[in-house]
Order: sequence, then structure tokens, then C-alpha cells
Amino acid sequence: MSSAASAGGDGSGSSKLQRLDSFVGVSRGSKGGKRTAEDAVNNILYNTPAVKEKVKKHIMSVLVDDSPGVLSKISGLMSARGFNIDSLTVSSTDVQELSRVTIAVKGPDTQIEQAVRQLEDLVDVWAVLDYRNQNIIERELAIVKVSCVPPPASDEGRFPASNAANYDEMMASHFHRQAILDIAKMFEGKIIDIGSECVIVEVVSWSRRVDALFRMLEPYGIIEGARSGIIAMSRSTVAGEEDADDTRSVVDLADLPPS
Amino acid sequence: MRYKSSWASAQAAQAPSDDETFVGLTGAQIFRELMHKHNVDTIFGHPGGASLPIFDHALGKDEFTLILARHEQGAGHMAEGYARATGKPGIVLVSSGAGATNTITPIMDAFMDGTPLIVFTDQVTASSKGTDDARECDIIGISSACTKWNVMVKDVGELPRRINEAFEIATSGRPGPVLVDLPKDVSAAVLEGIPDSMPRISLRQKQKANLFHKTRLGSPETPDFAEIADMINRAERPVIYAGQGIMQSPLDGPGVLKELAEKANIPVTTSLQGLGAFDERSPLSLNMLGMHGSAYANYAMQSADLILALGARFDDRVTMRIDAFAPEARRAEREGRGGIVHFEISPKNMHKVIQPTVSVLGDVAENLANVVPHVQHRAREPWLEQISEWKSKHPFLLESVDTDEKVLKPQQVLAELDRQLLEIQARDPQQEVFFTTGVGSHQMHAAQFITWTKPRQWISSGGAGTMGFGLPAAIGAKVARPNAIVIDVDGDASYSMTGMELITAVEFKVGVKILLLQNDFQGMVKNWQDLFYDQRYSGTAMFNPRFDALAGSMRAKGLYCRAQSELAASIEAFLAYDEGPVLLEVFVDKDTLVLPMVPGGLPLHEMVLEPPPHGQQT
Repeated sequence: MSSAASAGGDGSGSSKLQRLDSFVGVSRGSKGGKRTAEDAVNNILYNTPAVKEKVKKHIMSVLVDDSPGVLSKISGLMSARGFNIDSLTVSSTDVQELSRVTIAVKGPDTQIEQAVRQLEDLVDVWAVLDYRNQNIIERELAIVKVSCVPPPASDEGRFPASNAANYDEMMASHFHRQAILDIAKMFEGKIIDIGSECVIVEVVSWSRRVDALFRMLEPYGIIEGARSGIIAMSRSTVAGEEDADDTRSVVDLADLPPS
Repeated sequence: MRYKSSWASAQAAQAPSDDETFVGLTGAQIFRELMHKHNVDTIFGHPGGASLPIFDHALGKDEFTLILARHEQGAGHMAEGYARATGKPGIVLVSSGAGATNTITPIMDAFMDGTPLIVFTDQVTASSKGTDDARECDIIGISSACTKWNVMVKDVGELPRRINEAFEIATSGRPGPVLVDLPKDVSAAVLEGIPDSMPRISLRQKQKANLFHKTRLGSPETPDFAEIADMINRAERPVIYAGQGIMQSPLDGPGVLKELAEKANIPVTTSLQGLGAFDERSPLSLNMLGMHGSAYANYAMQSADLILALGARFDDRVTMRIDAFAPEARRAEREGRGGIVHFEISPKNMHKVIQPTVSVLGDVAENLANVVPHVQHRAREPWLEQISEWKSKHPFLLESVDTDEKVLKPQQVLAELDRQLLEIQARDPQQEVFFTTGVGSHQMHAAQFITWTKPRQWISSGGAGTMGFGLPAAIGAKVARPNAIVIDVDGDASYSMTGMELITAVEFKVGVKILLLQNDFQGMVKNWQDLFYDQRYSGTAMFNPRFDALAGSMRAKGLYCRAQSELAASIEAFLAYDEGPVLLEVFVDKDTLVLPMVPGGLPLHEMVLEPPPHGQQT
């Protein structure tokens, strides 16, 4: 554990033991008695990850005419203007002539603005839905093939020699697979393929969650992983939601007497 | 109606029910019928094996003027010249493979400058597509990046629809090039069923305007014309910055512009492609602005508290250093008494280079016409006096470099040409004059020293800067306007690129006039080498033929002029010759610095105004 990020806590130069104490003193309090507000705040600050400037990802949906070459025009346009595409997904919609392209782009706001306008200008594009300032649902499908053969176990065996090595490996494999299944469940996913050496995990969730899935499964040994790309849609509003902000009545200063 | 195309009325007048008449015709015959329907009178092209079915029908009946160029690039630029002179789309018909790719330069040029162009390329049969057949090429893929739209016609049944769509797209919104790829078997096939030839895309274009507003939250549906007029009325130092857009409207854009400028006493400056939108003989004219524009126009733009941009796109040659562009207008914007108002038809060009104070999306002339009734008359004497003062202190210099007086300067040649043309136009106000140019210092000098009076007079390659544009564009313009005087002001390097087209002009009796400013150099590039590279002329010296003799060999009239004393007479003979194409080669000074000049990276008002002392560079 690196040095605590406490703002006004026990100060620098505390020994390792003392720092460990202040962490463990979550329920106990640094003075050994009841937990104070200061302790609680220190603990929260310690456990909150630091703020990092991240390049924001923007998602847009492009509704296009289903004619050959449209996808090539769109990706050609994006690459020609140098936009950094994270993912691009296209598929048909309920209307045969209409296709929906979902693009995730990384870049500064002005660049995204330009991308939207350039796309709108294409003749085959009906409309561009820019989700920058909207509440949306986004989903991505990932299937990950994970190895379920654990690293070789130690040579110690508790059972008859003939089964020793096999049994340990078998149990280790079982626990390994169980761990993968647990992770998948945490992500509301499932195992869709089982083999003796690997399983395939399927998860449908938003993009960052899928990133997290990959990070969680990595220690278990990812053989290969495929992601489908994001599709997104704006959330619907609840009646009365928009008016909620306008509860203040506007007072014209001209009506008030001078102060 | 935001996207009103120039030919919408023509199309609407013709009932789509004559689709039935197409049944039983071959693709080539349908092509011919549709050309008539869209009022096409001229086709520029070059034949080839794959286009034989079409040429057979178009040639055989003598219904169109068919100009067969010596190179497909020439055909493309001719169509551009035609389109710029008339506003009608230029039609190009070329064969497959290399014939098609030779049109990419004119297509790209049309895309950059907003010129309506429809290029029909022929293609190998659909069955042999993808097999690397002889003269096959993926022209759709190649031209995707530089056309507004392109399509390969897969079936003769969709041919009428695709051609109608091509015309609609090329001429609507900001005009531009479209490419229609016609496989050989489609041209030869016979139409059996009744086609649906209503362009689906035109409906979409119209709906697009409404959809655009719905998806761009916060963009007003109708601009507040009264508010804009109010801004104009309150402005102390307004300026109009007019671009090509004001001339491309089906409504009389230049007329509305003149009315506004004169009513409210607002000085007008134009971009390079906007030359002719405002009569430069008016005292309100500031001529051209920008990197090589007039000093008074640049000072005016930087000092103005209100800039009305009409159909112009704030190209980098106009803004120069963007963060230092229009400082007074920005200050006025912060204080709530002015700013930049941008009238623009293409949503893509709005908020692209600069963020305007008020953006007005739609047809420029239509929107401006709604503003003018609310604008009041104001004398604005202090502002106009300031501008007169700048004008008298910094006119365009007739001599950019102090060298031997006997050597002709290109500025002098153009000033003399302008003088004589103004005399001709004074005698006969109906006489039309068109100018085309190549690219380089001669182009800038022509823009500066010719007095522009009418729209569409100036036909030059701006956005793309295509050398070799001058001669073929002049041919296209002359074909469009046979009674006009069409002059190509060219340089030796630019002319050499497409010079073979002179024989096309002779063959089809197209009497263009070529003023060749010959200095054995690529002048503009040489200037930069003078200024920035210690006069190291790497790859800019030209090894030239005798152009007047070359013209003679092509059976055109060749003249030349070497001395100051011969200048007036040469130009008179040049303008008077009416037996066909004529080329006047004028030997001019090698030092052809274009002034004023705003060096790259500097704000618009920091210009180099004085020529360097002889023999030194700045």
C-alpha cells in the first residue's frame, strides 16, 4: 500500500504499522476509541481514486440510406478528416432502406462538431444523432475465450499416487472455472461454451463495463476476445422531468424598487 | 424552402409521366432523352470503346454541341468554364479507365469551388467488373472523396432516376460535381418495364433542412431578420464580405447586395471567387480582400464592427491568422453592438472556420432579401472617409519591383487591357466579357487589375489552384456565350499544362483570346523562392517554346509583344481579332512579386505593401 492520500491525517513519517493501523481503524478509530469524522473522511479520501483527465468518447448514430458504398463513404470521410474512431457498427433497421451506423469517436468537442456536420452533408445520410449532451443507453456485446487450465499446481498430493496429480489439477481447474463463472455472473453475463481447456464468456453491457470485464478476466488467461462495437439510443424522458428545473419564478428587476 | 435548385422549376414543369415513353428504348437513347429534358445543349467529352453506344446516339443526331477535347482533363475544365459562365451544370462524357481518372482533377476542382458538374463515365460490363478487365477501374471508389455524390447505374430501369438525381444533387444547396458510372451493357440494354424516375434524393434534400434543425438543438428555425437589420442599423463601421454564394442563387443575389450596400452605405469587399458580385466601379467597392487583396479591404475588415459574410466560407487565404481575424468585430460582439453575421447555404460550412455571432442558414439571396426591407439609410461619413483615405494611400501598385523601365510589367499589361475593355463596354454596355486564368501571380494580378462589373465574369480555379485551368475553361465559357469576349489570362507554366486544347478551340471555331504573360518562370513559386529561399530557383525555370509560333502551327492566330511602346497596339489588335482563337504572348519582367501580400502566420492587416529595393529580398 503506498502512502495514504489523507489530507491532514497522521502526517508523513508514520511507520508502516501506523499507516496500516489507520486503515484498519475503519471501525475502531485511530485513537483506539470510537471512529471520528476525521477518520471517516480520511478513509474515504484514501479510497477514492484520483481524478485523471481523460479524452472523452463521443457516440453518434447515423441514419443512412441502405445503398452499397455508404459505409465506405462514411469511414472514408472519417479517416480523410483524421477522426479517431473507437468503434463503428452498422446494421439494418426495421425499415429495409434505412441502416443505422453507430460511431464512437474520441476527440475534442470542436472536432466532433465538425465530424457531425461533415456526415450530415453526405447525400446518403438522413440524419446524425449526436449523443454528446444526451442521456443514452449504450450496449456492446463481448465474447471472451478464457483458459480454464490453471498454472501447474505444486507436487504435493494427499491422495494415492496414481490419482494425485490428476486430482489436484482437476480440482484446480474446477475452481478456476468457478471463478470465471462468478466473474461472468457479476457482469450479468453467462458462459456460452464449455470445453476442457477453455470456456467462452458472453457479456452485454456498456462499453466501460466491458473494458472492466477484460481486465478482470485477464489474469485467468484470455485466449481471444471479440467485441461487437457500441450501439446506442437516447433515453426517453419522464413526463414533467423537463419542467422540474423551472420551478423558480422569474422576477423582473424592473418591478422591484431600487435598493 | 432551403434547398431550392436552379432547375427545380424546369423539372417540375415537365411531367414525370413521360416515363412510359422510355419503354423500348436503349440506355443510350434514354440518356439522350434525359439530356434534352434537362435543357442540356453542350456535352464535353472524349470517346472510347465503352462509350460508343452513347456517342453513337448523341453524335448521330446533331442535337447537341459535342466538343471533343484532346484530353479528358481539358473536357472537364471546359465543362467547368461552361458551368461557371452560365450557372447550368457542365456535362462531361468520357470513357472508362484512364479516361475516367483523367477527369478527377476537374472533379476535385469543381468540388473545392462549388461548380455544378455532371460527369458520365463509361464502365466495362457489369459481368466483367472486378476481373481487372481491360480499361476497368473503380472510379466510384476513386471519386468518392471529391464528388458530392456518385453512383454506378446497375440496371437500365434505374437509369432515368439516377440521372434525375444527379442533376438535382449537382445544382442544389452548394453546387458541386457528381459522377454517374454507366456500364456498357446498361447503355446498350433495352428498357422493358416502366421505370420510377422521380428522384428520391430530392425529397430527402428538402427534408434534410428540417431534420437538421431538429437534431441541432438550439438552432433557430427561422432567422431573426429584424434583429440582423437592427445590427446593421446600429453599426458604425460595417463591411460586406461577399463570396461566390451570392451569385449562385436562382434569385438575383447581386441585385439584393447592391440594394443593401447602397441603401445603408456599406462598403463591399469580395473574396477571389466573389469577384463580379459587386460592381467595382462603385465608390463603395473595396475590391478583393485576403492574402493578395487590397490593403484598404484588409484594413476595413480588421477595423469593422460588423461583418456580413454573404455566401463566403472564410477560407484561410481570407482570414490568415484566425485568432487575430476581425478583432474589432469580436470586440463589438463582446459589447453587444456587432460581430460577424454569416449567411451560408451549406450547414457544413457554418461554424467551420470561425464562430459567427449570428448564423443564417439557407439561400443567401433569399435570406438577405428578407433583411433589406428593415435596413435604414445611413450616411456613415466618418467610415467612408476613412476608407477613401486608405484607398488613396494604398492603391494597387503598377510596379512591384523597381527594375529596368523598358521591360513590361504584368500589372501594366493588365491595366492596359482593363482600360481598353472598359472603353468597349462604355460604347456597348451589353457586351459581355469573361475572364479565365491559370494559377499563379498572373492570376492574382488579373484579380487585382481588372475592374469587375458583372457576376460570373471571373472564372478561375481558387480552392484547388489547378494550373492549366485557363484555356479549357475559356473554351467552355465561349461555347456557352458565343457573343462574349472571353479572355484567358495565363502564365507560361500554367498554359503548358493544357495548351493542346487550343487546337480543340480552332476545330470547333471557338474564338477564345489567350493573353500569355511569358516570363520563363513559374512566377508565384519563384517569388516565394526570392523571399524565403535566398533566390534558389529549384525547379521553377521554364524551358518554353515560342508560344505564338505554337499557336500558328495549330492554325490559331499568334501575336507577340516585347516592348512598352507596342503594348497598346498589341492589345487592340488582340481584342479586335474575330476570326477565331488568338494568342498574344507578352514578354514580361521575371520579377513578378504580387503585392500587397500577407505572409503566412500573420494577421490580415500586417501586409507587405512596398516592394523590396531592387536586388534584395525582404
